Amino acid sequence: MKSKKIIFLVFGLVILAVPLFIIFKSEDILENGHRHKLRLQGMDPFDPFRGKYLRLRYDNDVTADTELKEGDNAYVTLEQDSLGFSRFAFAHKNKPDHDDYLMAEILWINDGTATIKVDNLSKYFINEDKAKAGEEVLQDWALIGSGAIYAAIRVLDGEARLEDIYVNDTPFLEYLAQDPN
Amino acid sequence: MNTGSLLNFLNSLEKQGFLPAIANRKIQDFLDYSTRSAGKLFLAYVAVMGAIFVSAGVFAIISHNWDDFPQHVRGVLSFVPSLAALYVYYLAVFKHAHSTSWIEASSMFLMLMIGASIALISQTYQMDGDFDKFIIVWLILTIPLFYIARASGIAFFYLLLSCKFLTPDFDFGFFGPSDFSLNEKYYLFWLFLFAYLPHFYLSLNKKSDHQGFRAIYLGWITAIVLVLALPFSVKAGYLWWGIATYMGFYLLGKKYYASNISSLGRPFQTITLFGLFFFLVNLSSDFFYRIIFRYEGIRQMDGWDGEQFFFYFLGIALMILFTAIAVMQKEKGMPLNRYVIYTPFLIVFLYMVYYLYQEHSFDMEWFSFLVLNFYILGFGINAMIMGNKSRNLLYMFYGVFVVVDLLWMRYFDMDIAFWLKGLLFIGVGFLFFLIHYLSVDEFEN
Repeated sequence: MKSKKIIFLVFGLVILAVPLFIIFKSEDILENGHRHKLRLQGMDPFDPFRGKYLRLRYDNDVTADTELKEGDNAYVTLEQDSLGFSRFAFAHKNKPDHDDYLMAEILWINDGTATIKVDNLSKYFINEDKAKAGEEVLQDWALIGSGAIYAAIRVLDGEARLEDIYVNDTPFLEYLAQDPN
Repeated sequence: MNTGSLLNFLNSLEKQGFLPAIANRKIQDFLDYSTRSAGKLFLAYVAVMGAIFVSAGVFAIISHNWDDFPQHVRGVLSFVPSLAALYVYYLAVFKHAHSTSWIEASSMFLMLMIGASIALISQTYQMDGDFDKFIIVWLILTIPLFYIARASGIAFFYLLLSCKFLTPDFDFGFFGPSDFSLNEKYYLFWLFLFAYLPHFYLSLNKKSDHQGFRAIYLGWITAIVLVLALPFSVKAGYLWWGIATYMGFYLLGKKYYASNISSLGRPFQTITLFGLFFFLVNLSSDFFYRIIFRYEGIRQMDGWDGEQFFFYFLGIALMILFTAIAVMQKEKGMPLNRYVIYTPFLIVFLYMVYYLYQEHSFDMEWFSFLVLNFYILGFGINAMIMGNKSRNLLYMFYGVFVVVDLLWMRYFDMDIAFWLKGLLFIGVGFLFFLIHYLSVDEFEN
C-alpha cells in the first residue's frame, strides 16, 4: 500500500508539473522575451476543446538558408522596419548567437524563399460573447491596413507567445469593451 | 429468454423429473454468476459514460473563455480539473479499490481532465501550439493509468488518440501526381501501442483459455486498431505484416480465448477469419493480385531506405515465426484450422509464381489462380463442416458466405465461353440444392 501511495504521489506531481511548466515557460517569455509588433488580419472559427478564437495571419514568407529543405525546423529571426513593425525575416539552419529568434517549420521552399509555420501565434482565444464583435473589428481594421491594429508578440530563445492584439495601442479586449460594435 | 423465465423453466424441469436437483442448483449458480458479471459490466459502463459526459461539460465550460479573470487567476484555475480528477482517482485507488466502476470512471475522468488542464492553459496563454505535442504529452500522462489501478476503459480513447500519428502526409500535385506517404511520426503510434500492450497482457487470464469481459473488450479494440492501423504504420512489406498479424491473432485467440462461447467472445479468431476471407477473395481477383504483388515487388526495392528494408524483413521474419509456431502447435495436437495456418505457404507460392512470370516470362499464373480458388473453396467448405461438427451455426454461415462470395466473383470475372459458364453455374446452383436436401433432416427435425 505504501509503495502504491508513493507511485500515486509521483504520478499526481507529474500531472501537475506539466501545466506548471507550461505556465512558467509562458510567464518567462512574456516577461523577458523581446517584443515585436506584427501586422495581421483575422476571422472567427471554433475549437471544440478550447472555445472560440480569432485566427491570426502574418506574412510568413522568409528568405532562407540554401541548406534548408521542406519539413526542417529552422531558426527564424525578425527584422524591424522604420515604423517599428517587425516581420519574419530570415530562416537560419544554425542557431543564432542571441536569444531573439523562434523555431519554425519550413512548409515549403523555393529559390531561397521559404514559407514557415510558427507555433503559438496564430490563435487568439476569446470569450464566446465577444468573438463576433472581435472578428468584425479585426476585419475592418485589417482592411485599412494602416498598422493601427497589430499583434504584440514576445520571442525568447526559440519560443514565442502572443502578448495581445492592440487597436490604436489599446489592448484588444479593452477596445472591445469601449466600442463593442 | 430472460434469467427469471429461465429459472422458472429450470425449476419446472426439476419438478417434472427431467433435471436432477444438483444439476439445477449448479446451473442456477452459474446463471447467478453470469448475471452478476453482466451487472458489474453495466455499472462500469454507466459510470464511464457519466465520467465522459461530466468531462464534456467541463470542456464546454472551459470553452466559454473566462477572460474577465486576470491571467494569473486563470493560470491557477487551470489546475482545478486535474486536481479534482486526481482526488476522485485517489478515492478510487485507496477507498474503492475493488470497485470496477470507481476505477474505470475515475481513470477516464482523470485522463480527460489532464487534457482539459492543458487546454485551459493554452487558452489562457494564447497558445495554439503544436497539436502533436499536446497529444504526446496527454498520452504519456495517461499511460500510468493502465498500470496503477489497471483501468481498461481508457484504452479506447488512448488508442484512438495514438492513431493521430497515422494520418498520412498528402501532397496535392497541381501539375503532377499527388504524393501520399506515411505520417513522419508514425513510429509514435508503435511506441504508444507498446506502452499499452503489457496492460492487455496483464488483463488476460493466463491459466485458462476462457476470458472475461475485460479481456474480450481489450481484445476487440486491440485487434481492430491494429488491423486498421497496419497500412498506415508499416513502411514496407504490408503483405507480410498483414499475414503475420492474422497468424499472431489466431494463435493468441486459440491460446487464450478458445473456450469463449460466441464469436463475439473470440475477437482474435473472428477478426482472423474475416480478415483472411477478405484478403484471399480479393487476391483471387486478377486486378488486386497484380496490385498487391507489384506493390510488394522486389523491383521497388531500388529506391528504398534502411527503414523500409527493416520493415520488409521484419514482416517476413514475423510471418515465418508465427507460421512455424502454428505448425508446431498443430503437430502437438492443438485444434488449429489448417486452412488458416497454411495460408502463408500459399501466399509465398503465389508470390514466387508471379515473379517467375515477371522476371523469366514463365507463365504458371493460370495454375496459381486455380490453386488459390480451390484453396478458398476448401476454406469455405471446411468452415461449413467444422461449424456443423461443433453445432456453430455462425461458423457454418461463414463457410457458405466464403464459398458464395468466391463463386460470385468468378461469375463476373471468369473468362470462359458463356455457354460453359452457364452450365457450370447451373451445376453450382444444384449443388446448393443438394446441400439443402442432405441437411434438411438434420435441421428441420
